Amino acid sequence: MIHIINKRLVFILISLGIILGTSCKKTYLDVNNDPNRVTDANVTAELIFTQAENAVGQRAASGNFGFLNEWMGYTAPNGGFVPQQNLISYNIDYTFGDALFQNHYNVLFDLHQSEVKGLATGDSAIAGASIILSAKLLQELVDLYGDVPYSQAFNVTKYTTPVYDKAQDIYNSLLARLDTAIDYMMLSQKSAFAAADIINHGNAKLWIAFANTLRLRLLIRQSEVPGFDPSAQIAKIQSTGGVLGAGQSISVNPGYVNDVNKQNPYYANYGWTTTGTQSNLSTDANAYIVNILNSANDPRLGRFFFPAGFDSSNGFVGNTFGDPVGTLAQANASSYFGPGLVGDLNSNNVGTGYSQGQFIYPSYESLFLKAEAVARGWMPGDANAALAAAITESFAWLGVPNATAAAATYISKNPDIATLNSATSVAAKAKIVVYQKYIANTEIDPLESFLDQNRLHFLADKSFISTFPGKISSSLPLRLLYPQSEYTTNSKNVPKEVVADAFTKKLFWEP
Amino acid sequence: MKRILVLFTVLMLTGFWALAQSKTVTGIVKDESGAPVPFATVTESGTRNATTADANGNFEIKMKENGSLTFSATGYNSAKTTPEGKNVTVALKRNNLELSTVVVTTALGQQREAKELGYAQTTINNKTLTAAKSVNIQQALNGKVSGLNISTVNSGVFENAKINIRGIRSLTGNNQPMLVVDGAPTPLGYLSSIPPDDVADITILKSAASAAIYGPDAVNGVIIITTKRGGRKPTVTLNSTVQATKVSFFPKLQKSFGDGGGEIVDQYGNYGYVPYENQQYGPMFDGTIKPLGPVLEDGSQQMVPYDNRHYQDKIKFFNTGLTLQNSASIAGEDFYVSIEDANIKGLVPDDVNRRTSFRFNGGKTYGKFSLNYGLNYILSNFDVVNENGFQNSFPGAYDGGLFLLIEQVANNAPLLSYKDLNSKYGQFSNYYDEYAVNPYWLIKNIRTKGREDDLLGNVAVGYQLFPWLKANARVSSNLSFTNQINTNAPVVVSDWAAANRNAVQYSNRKGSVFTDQAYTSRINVDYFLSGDHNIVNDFSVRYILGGSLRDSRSRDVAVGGNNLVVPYLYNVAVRSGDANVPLYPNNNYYIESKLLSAYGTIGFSYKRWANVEFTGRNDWDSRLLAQNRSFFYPAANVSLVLSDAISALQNSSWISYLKVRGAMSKSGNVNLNPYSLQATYSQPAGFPFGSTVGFTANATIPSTNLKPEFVNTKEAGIELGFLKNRINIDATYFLQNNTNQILQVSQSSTTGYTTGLANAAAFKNYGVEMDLGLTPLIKIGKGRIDLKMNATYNNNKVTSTLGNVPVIIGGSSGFIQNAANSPTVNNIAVVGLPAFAFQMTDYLRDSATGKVIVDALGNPTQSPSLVIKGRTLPLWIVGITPSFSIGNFSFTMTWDYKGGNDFYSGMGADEDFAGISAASAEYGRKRFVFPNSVYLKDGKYVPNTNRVIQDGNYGFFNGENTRVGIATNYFASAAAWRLREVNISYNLPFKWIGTTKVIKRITVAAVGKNLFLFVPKSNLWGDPEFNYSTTGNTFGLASGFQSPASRLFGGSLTVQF
Repeated sequence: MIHIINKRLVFILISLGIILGTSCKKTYLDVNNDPNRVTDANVTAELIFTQAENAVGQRAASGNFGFLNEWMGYTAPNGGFVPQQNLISYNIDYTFGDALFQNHYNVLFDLHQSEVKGLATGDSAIAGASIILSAKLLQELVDLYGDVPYSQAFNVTKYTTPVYDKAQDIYNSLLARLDTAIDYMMLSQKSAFAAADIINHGNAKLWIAFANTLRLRLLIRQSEVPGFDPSAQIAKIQSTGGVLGAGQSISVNPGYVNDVNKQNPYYANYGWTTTGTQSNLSTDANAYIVNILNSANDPRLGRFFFPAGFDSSNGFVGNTFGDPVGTLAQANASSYFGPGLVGDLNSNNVGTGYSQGQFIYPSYESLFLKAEAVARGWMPGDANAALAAAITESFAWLGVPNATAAAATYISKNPDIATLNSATSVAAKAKIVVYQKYIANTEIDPLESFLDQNRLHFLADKSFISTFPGKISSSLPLRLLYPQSEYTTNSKNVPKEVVADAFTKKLFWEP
Repeated sequence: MKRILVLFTVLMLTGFWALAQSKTVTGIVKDESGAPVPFATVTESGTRNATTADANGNFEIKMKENGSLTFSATGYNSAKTTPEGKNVTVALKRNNLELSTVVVTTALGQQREAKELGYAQTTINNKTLTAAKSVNIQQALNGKVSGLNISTVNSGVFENAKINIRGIRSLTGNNQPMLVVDGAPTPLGYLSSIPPDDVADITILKSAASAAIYGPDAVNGVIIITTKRGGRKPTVTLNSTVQATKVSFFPKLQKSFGDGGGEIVDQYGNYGYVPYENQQYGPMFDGTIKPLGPVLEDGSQQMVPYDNRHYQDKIKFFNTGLTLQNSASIAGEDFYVSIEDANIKGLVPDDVNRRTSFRFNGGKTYGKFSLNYGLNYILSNFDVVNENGFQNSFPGAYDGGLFLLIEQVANNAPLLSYKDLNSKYGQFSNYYDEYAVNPYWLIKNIRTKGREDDLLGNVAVGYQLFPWLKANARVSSNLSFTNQINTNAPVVVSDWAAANRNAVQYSNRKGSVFTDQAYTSRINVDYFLSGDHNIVNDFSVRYILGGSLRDSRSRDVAVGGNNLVVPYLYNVAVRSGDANVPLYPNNNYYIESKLLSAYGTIGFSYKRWANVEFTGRNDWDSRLLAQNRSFFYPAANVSLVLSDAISALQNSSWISYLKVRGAMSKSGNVNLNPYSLQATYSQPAGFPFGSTVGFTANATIPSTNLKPEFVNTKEAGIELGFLKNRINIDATYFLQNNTNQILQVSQSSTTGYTTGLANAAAFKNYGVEMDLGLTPLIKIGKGRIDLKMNATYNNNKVTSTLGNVPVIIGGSSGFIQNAANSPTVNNIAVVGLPAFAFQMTDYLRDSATGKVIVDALGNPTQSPSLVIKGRTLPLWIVGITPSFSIGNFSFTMTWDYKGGNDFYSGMGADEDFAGISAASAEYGRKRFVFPNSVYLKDGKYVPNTNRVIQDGNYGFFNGENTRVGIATNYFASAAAWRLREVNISYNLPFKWIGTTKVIKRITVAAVGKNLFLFVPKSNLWGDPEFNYSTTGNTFGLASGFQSPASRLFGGSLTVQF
């Protein structure tokens, strides 16, 4: 009997052991804290903000805009590769602008996160700077696509399929948000901000001037909207110190070096790889812009482009966009992105601009906006002087030797295109200003040129249009089609479009 | 927890029965060969006093001094004996009533009689498994088990397969079954490393209903493998197999046009010859001598006839693969030792994979104490071309994978002559193609080498506390150590090529290296009490109460370096610039997760023909929030053997076996990686820049409150045997409702996160599976023909998704397509449609007729919305295994059919891009009217008979809106009939071997696998089972990174001592 009791005891003990062993070790299961990644719990606004600033620079340099360089007559496919059919035929589809759209929103989300987390910890400067940078990217999205998600964006717990807001509403909201941003920038800063700010290093005045420049860009874009009155917004610009001036370029530099993924982004896309081979093998100078610069004897030609084959005896040679037959190969026949953009050559014929700051908003663009505002009578001042200042700043920005004198020479020798003397109407003046802006923006901001063309149709010579026989239109698309990813994931909200809509559906500010 | 206490109480109440008899006899029941017969019924003749032998044939019975015993067991003739002492050994003779399965190993290693089970299972013995000498078990199982779908997703040297039993139960989580080897839960990946020769038998439990006690691991069914243990006399078996592999299915390519890519177009729109193009949109072959490639540095140029004489080179590029398998084993009474070596040389030259394994199994019983243990060491080494690494050496190139690189070699180019990389036209700098490299250069220079050491061990102890209760404990561990090195050789080009040729391919580049080391450990501890007891005569109860603990950890360290400064020295330390340190979840991580469980089961049996069983289990899973961690789920099953219960059936000469069964179960399943509950941030490429750091939000937003998925299974089945079980039928209907699906939901990028993670969907999965055995079908003299057939109909339907928004599971964003504007194709879950349908780009069509709309120039255009059609998983799977045997000779083959599903071939778009597809030459590269199209005329769509596409050449076939971006052009039925395997074997007669008693058996066999593949005409591309990934739930999405389908044939020799 004792034997049996012992056995029974053993049995009961084992049973209890099973039950206790499996249910009562709470801490045993607490092993789900991520040891591998930063999480929402321990990330800071500064950690996100610095990266987001760099990402805004990467967007400005992005190859996603390369198509506009080609469409606007800056670059053209060379003979090394079969040209991209959709580019030379304008036969774009829904995947065409998908990467651009998603990449822009991706950066906007990081800016949103740093704004929210900055406000949560009382770092209003981070919030202000994030809003200003967001305004730039959002305007670009609206200008390319029209209505886009805005009011319900980045609120994933509430809206997994954000609605599309009206383009005009987003414009109005951005103007109001810039007011908020300027208010934030005027508050006293936390010391962490200056350390994290790899654009202006905490300089609030520059941030405010940049906000005003973006405000002016939003206004100028609406110049052709009937009944548009910018006066109240212009007054805000004037009362808060004005727009970015000469020497006040907005650029970012986290410490670019000549290493994989660490080069200046523009240099990485259009310059050289870390091993010294050319990064961009399929496109070179477009004969269209080369002719414009050549015919005006513009010294910026040698800053925008290298001579063909990096040999000055070859001169500057461009290809004709869409020409399926006579296109020249890159190696020694056509001109590559120039020293004003990717740095002067070293002894191995490799550009040296890998460590320069990445432009986000060049100073001369601000001066061109100002020149157009003056020419339109929105701002006080002498329009010719304002234009001359902008052109001079472009020369300086590109590193033309003796920029001021060279610009003065250029202006004096090309009064028809570099002064407003010949123009009588406001419209004619504006066209000359944006024509100069178009030249200055060669390979730098082709989006601005594309939007100006859709706004003012200032390019009289239409030979920038593709010569490809299979092209489906003799004019540029007005906009991009909504991306495939939106049709896939947000189909109930994204407006339905057919390919032809890219040529016919106008944005609200397009005349 | 309450329910477990109830079970516990029931257990306690079963109490003790003590029966007084005059003599206790112990003994063992064996078969003719000396192997134990488990679960034989031992009855004292003429009385109702009976007992059942255990799994090892041991029994103990109290009986009258001079009584006799009757032994009976299913599948054996009864025997009667009068024990003369207290010990008796009896040998039963097998009868001819071959019930396919008699005793099966079920969950937790419990041996059960098949007829007691209330759920579907299939057992495959070693003989069936090894008939075709497959290198691995999953290939050997194909076509033999109803409900089992094994897709071999590529034909390389790896055993890449996806295994599903009865379709899927999780939209995005794991759908592969659990693997249990000798009672130890083992990662499924080991299935391909266990040599089929080591296997005694495999039981497939087809759903959670049959293995509820295993909990979440078993929701997709269980593959239970029992490895061999020795018999009474030591046996030595030697086996040697040689198999050759040949390309069996090549895509349909054009043979009429040579190089050209639109660089040269005459005024009539005819494309000119470009001697250095990778695309073949040039003029038609005309037999003239033309230059191939550029004028070389020495001024010479390769000159070849312009015709298709080298088309066959593309097929001949692939080797005859060779698989050598050798194994030796010794089986003794309480041990089994084996060593096996499989050496695989692939179709792709230089690809090799070798696996060597060593196994030692042992066991011993000391009175009431039993001990079983096993140790298995597996060493794998591989060395293969690294197609994915190709892109790293040639960024921006249109190279695709190796197969495309080979396919796009011009038909007039003597590909085989380029094998010598030092030859004039084979050397890197002189290769004819300006936009692609010599494929032989790729296989020599961009490679992956890896080694994996696996150590699997388990120890199980048992102690018989009481006759009715046994305590069991088992500890098992799986340790895996892997290391891998990817090497990209430097690209070295001549100064001439660097200066004059396309810089994407012909630039000097430094070599790179990537090394990855990982360690994975899984420790399982199981402890349970089990037993059975006759409560009263004819009424018995069996019970298990236990718990388990699992601890999984893994660590990975990986680092890479570009810019290696000493050529061909592949060490990260010998580089310039920063090292490349990839992030979690790919590399560089530590992961830990834990699972605790408590479970109980109780079953009642009446006269062994009425059986009912209840199971309950509670899990605690570390991957969920504390409040969601604990979850309980129950199961029950019942079986009635009517042929034993109904006396009219007992004596029927017509019906020999009839059983009905039913089961219900619920199982919780956490389909989630550890650390999935929080949004995360990481440093993007480039960061940190020195001391400047920066983090970006990662793409996935999880829902912190995630709960387990639940699988609710119902099944009912019938098993029938006719004419002394010569005809066997087994049919099961099953229905699974799968709720709370944890999904990665693709989201609009405007939400900030392109992926969401939530309990977001439900779907049901249902079907019927049927097995038919005719044994024998026909008997001709001494010969017999057997036939086994199985068929599974399996359908499923998505019943809800979050906000009814379709969910993308995976697709073309996951693999590289060569063509610049390749189509978008996804697997997608849409409410009301099967899991999954395909979502893809299509032409703009007239909604009334479905015909393609063309514009004024005759060109079709792309529709803005993606079309949703087709299904990824087969609706029908049929396997037919006829066999013929006479004397020492046997012939077996397995046919299988899968159909009702579809697939997309990424290769199709790549081939159109390159101008090598047969389709791209269908209209002779001339202007043509787009077939079956309409255009808008006066507000109505009218058939297009006259709007001719202006450029029926490159312009059409490379247009993303006209051809290459339209996925429906590369979409076809995945139906296929296959002759999966053929085996002819012959046991050498003893008169040949001689009278020596040393050799017991010599068998020679000829084997063939995948001998024929029959696909519909619409499939122009390849094996429809191929898929871009072995992981995840995508099916029917083939990238260009594939080898052509292959067939194997060879022979084997087995000698037993």
